[in-house]
Amino acid sequence: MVETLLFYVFAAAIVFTAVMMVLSPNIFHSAIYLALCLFGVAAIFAMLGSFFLAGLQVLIYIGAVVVLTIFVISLTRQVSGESDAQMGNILPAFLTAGLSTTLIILAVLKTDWNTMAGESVAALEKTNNVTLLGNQLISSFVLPFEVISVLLLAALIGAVVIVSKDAGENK
Amino acid sequence: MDLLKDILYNTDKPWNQFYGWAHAGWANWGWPPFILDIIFQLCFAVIIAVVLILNALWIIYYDRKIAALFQIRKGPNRVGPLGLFQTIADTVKLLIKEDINPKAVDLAVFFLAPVFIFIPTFMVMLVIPFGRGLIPADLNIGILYVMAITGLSVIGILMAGWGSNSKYSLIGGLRSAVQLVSYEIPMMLVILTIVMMSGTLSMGGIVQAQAGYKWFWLPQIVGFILFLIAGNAEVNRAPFDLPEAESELVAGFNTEYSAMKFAFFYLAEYVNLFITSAIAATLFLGGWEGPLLPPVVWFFIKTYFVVTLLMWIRWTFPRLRVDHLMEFSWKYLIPIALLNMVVTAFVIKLV
Repeated sequence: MVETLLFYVFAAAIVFTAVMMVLSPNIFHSAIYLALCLFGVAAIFAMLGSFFLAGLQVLIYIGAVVVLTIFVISLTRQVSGESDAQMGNILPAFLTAGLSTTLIILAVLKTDWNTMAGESVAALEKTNNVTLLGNQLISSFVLPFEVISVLLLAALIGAVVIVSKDAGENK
Repeated sequence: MDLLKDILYNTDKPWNQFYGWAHAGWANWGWPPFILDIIFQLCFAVIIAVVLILNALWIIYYDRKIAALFQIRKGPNRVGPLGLFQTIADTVKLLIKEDINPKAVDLAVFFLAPVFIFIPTFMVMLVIPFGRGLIPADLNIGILYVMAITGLSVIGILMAGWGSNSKYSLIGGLRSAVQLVSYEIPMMLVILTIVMMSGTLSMGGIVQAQAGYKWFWLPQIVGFILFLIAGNAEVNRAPFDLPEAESELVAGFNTEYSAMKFAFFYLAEYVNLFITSAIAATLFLGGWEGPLLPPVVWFFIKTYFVVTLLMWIRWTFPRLRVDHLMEFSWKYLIPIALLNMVVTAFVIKLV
């Protein structure tokens, strides 16, 4: 009963912050709403007994992605105090959002969910699902894992190359 | 007598008895048990909040006394015996001062920034093991939770810097964010090494892995030093206090803040100092483990040992320049931390 109530509270908070993120005329406020929205998703993860994912959600999405976003916003010229409604590309935005939402809804409806009762969620919290996740990553999912590693490494090296080219021109 | 000994040395045993007894009594009333749990959790939250604030007040006094010692002067000595009530007087003064909101600020962001900075420091206390069985919640992702939650305060600092609508605040906030993000990386690498050695993410588990005085500071001496450097940078204190370098930035991201909101920043800085030291004590100095004295006492002795170390560093070294600061993290700390991690991994596998 409590869990259902909490779920609806968090779900309402997520939807509210997500909508406010899009509607807010101030881009800095949007970023803050995005952080709150992602925190709500982390709360849902924690409620499902997946604390590890909840921790990663906060660490990576809020601690890295949103922080970098805010950082970029702070560095842009005279954003402070300005209220610019982003209404320029309304049709492509609607199309992209509508299409991806339809896809997600279809996927959710088509999937045969392996639902769990409340007790098994409690049991899941007791088990060390971090170990389980780690073992899965280097056994069943080793190929995607390595591909992602190479991708991230390429991005890292790319960033270094771009920055060092700029530094050379300045000197 | 036995009960007292249990409460001091083995806190979870009498607590579990009391918890069972309270729940049995509660069941007689016919109310659902989760309400009692919520009441207990609220009590814990209040106790932790009070301890946190009192402790921060004490650390501020302690810092000023240590500073006085290093600078061969007397430090606070007027209010109360030995000047002990000085920080209380200061806090009361800050709380009753006029709360000034400059005209140009973004009011919502300006108002929420101290909240965003203070709440994570409070949330981290959830997983700190103060003694045997004296851990508010031993989450199985303990240390990951700490890293995730402390990362949130960067947003608070950026909000303060941006919301103030002042050049000093903005530059201070940006510098602080850059610094926090850069020094988080070596810190996480060191923590990862500790996690590899203990085989668990839970804070209680890490303390248990060091049982029998096999504390991690000796095999991980490089990691310990890296952690202290990165930790000092994370709490924005000299020689890494660039964000509020008063000679160039007035006061950094909290330039426009006054009265109670400033008090929140000030308290958060010292609470963060305590938390970083507590985590260092847990990861490297065996947590609450120690002979004779109760575990809680040992925990505080070790934490204050680290606090004193950090204050020693603060009052000894001059401030770094901003590009040196970045270089130091990216060119030295991160490679050393990576090397330390790889070597540790090999040693764990081979030995």
